[in-house]
Amino acid sequence: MNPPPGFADGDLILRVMQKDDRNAFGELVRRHQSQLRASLRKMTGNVTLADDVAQETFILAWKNIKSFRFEAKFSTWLYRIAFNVWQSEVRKKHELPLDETVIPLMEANDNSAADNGVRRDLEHAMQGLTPGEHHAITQCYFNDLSHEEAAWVLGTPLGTVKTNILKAREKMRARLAAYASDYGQGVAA
Amino acid sequence: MTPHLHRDPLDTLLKLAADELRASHIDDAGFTLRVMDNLPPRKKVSATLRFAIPFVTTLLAAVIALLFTPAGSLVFDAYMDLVTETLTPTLISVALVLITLYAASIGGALREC
Repeated sequence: MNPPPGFADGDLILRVMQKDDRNAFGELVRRHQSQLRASLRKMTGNVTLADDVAQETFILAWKNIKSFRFEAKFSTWLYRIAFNVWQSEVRKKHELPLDETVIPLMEANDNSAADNGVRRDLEHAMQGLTPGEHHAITQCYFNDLSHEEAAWVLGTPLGTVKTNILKAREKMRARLAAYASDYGQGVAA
Repeated sequence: MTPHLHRDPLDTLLKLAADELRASHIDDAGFTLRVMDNLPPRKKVSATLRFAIPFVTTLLAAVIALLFTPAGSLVFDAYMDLVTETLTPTLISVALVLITLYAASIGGALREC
């Protein structure tokens, strides 16, 4: 029997822990798949790879659910697993092929001119960030995590996350300023 | 260049991008089903093993104590008291220790169920 949709994540997790309830776990997957896949698409830049990593993340979550201690949100725990799976993939392949499934940083689900502009500007601003800076920005701004949560997800010291955020913001500001200036000249010409 | 960059470039951009991400929804499109199909089955420990493992472990610990620790002589004395049907403090204390160990092992096994 499927658990009622009104069940909180914590109740579902307890059902999985205590009764190996696959239906409860299925409900957790349904609830979190969109957020996790979107985050992974942004991180990997590859739809197929993002979905593979997301699937592996949920399988690992199922296997290790008993180690979940309710000290973090379930979504944050998933981000941590996903980041480790992704890093493992990167180490395995050294470099990932970016083929025709490459997508922009923002999911292309809205073709309005303003949103396309946001995507383009953001992609431009994030070019040139180191992986550490990119990950810190992704976790803190797009996954909406605190610096402490991001440090836990990324497995890095809190100070490193804060430094990466500061450096990333400086770089992005500089790139946006130059971009705005260049664009203005182009339009004027 | 989009107009928002002229107002508050970085914070506005990050906020817009984050809002867009949160508002977006990726259709499940069979993803959950694929995950559920690939979940490994749980390893089931049989009821016999759940009781046997702690019991055998306890028994082994008792044998080791009997053979290799000074407490061994205490157990031996208690055994002799039991054989001769003499109720002594030694016999009572050893019996209590064994009952406690057994209860603990059964309790542990039941918790695993």
